[in-house]
Amino acid sequence: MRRWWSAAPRPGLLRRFALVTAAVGLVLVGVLALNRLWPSPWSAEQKEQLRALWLGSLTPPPPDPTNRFAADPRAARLGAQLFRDRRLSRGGAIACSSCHRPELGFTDGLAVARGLGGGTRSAPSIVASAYATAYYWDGRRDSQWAQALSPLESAHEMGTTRGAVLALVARHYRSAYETIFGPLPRMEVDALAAAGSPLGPPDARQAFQSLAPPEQDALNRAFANVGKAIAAYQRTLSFAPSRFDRYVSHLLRGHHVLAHLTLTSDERAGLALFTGRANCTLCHRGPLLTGHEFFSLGLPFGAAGPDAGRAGAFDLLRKDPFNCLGPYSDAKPQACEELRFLAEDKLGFLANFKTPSLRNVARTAPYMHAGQFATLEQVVDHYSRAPRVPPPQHTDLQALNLSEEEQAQLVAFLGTLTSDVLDPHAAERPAE
Amino acid sequence: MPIPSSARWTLLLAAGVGAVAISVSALLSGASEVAQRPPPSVMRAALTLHTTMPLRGASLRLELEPAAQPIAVGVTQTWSVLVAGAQGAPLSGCKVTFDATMPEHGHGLPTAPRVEGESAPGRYRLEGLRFSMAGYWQIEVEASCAEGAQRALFDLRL
Repeated sequence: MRRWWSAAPRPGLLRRFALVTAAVGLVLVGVLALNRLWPSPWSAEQKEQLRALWLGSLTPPPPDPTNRFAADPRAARLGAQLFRDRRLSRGGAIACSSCHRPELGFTDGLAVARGLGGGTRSAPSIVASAYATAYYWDGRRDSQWAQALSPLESAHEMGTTRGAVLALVARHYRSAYETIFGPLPRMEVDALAAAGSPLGPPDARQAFQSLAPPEQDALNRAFANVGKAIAAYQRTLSFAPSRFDRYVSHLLRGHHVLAHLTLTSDERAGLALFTGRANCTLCHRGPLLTGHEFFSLGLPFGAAGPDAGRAGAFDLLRKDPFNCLGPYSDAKPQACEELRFLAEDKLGFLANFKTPSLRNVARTAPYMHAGQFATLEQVVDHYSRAPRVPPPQHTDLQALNLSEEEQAQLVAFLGTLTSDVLDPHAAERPAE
Repeated sequence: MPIPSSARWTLLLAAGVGAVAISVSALLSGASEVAQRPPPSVMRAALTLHTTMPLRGASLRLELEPAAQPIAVGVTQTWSVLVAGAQGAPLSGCKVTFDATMPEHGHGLPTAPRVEGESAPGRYRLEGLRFSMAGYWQIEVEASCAEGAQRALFDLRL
């Protein structure tokens, strides 16, 4: 009787195959054993700190009660098209994506933003901004959609009017818009184009003021909807895991050898400083490496001179008709905690700016609110020295006195936070 | 009975395949610390009374009751301020204020929390409170009642 094993047609092949498989198996078992036995450089408590910074700890963005279209995929698609549409600007040269360039982590690579004119602050990244409760470097807007509206009518950014924006929507996006939000204001497209804005140049203001209040309200509401569509799109932008995230994943799985191979020793040393002696996680905390709060770092002035920062934002936010408590917000007043409990201490918030996410920070030079620092080395050096500033300014920083080597290690670690931005609507193009 | 050589090789192959399979699955799944729910970004906090002083009239008792322990950083929360007479009787209708600063950093709270009514006699709802940073916070609470007024300072280590 022929046994099944003797049925092998070429015993030599079996032999070679068995040897190779056994060898691979042995190596893998070895790696596995090494992985378990390799000592982890982190204590259990430190591992929890790393887990808190890990992208795997990120929960979905909190709901936006001010925008009931925030999670509407149709609104996100329309928003993605509008985001890339240069016709949204006066002269048709600038889109949202001109300053929030996908290939630069949704920033522009400039010290200060440049639209139709020059700005005074740096264009921040908008990725994962759905997690913030305050927008702009100074927090003068309180929702993603209210923020998205401002550059459209800002003279040095896109310089258009809400009337012109709605005329564009009526010409090119009417059916998409009306499916989501209902009918556009009942005005001819030419009348919309000439309807102006309560902001901007005198002729635009005059045109808007000449409209009846219900017409003005209808324009404001439709304009708010444009912002809500753009916000719905921005909400879908997220970070892919970075090398740092892969490091923590390996570590939490007990794969210490794989973890060890994922970061260099300088990068690991930088991470230890980041979560330890350099105190970075006091403000750059959580999986987005920001607490979205405002602090004063005693920074040198930008090219435009002194900047009041957060202290200058309270009145702007309160007066914004598109804020959480305004008529175009979908939130119940009770949900507007940021606005209801807005701090009044203007002096205390002088030159305070919002803590940005550090994800992709190596890609978003230059740094700080006015691009004062060209490199991460300069940024880390500033934190290390924590220069004193004359009153009425103050600095929240305390000198770290890091050695040159430690500073280089921190910079090396920051480089491990680079990853792709995931944009499910990357292929969307403006409507014909 | 001796095992034929081809059977030995087949067994070795099987062992090899087994080792590869076990290793790969172990490497892919791991010890699964990952599966645990991530903890909220909170640390153990200590809230202690530092000083209390009467400003007017009878001396009062001021206590703070955080929304939850551990006290969260970066989360807007509602606390209770308990106001009572020296003998412990709750006092209603007082004007209660609350402020906090970080003396080591020179800044205050990111919001302006305030008392929005009483949830029970002598138990004042402090809304809109958020701590922007972990570290040492100095809290100042004042209650002004018909019976007297009191100021209390608390230390909070977040």
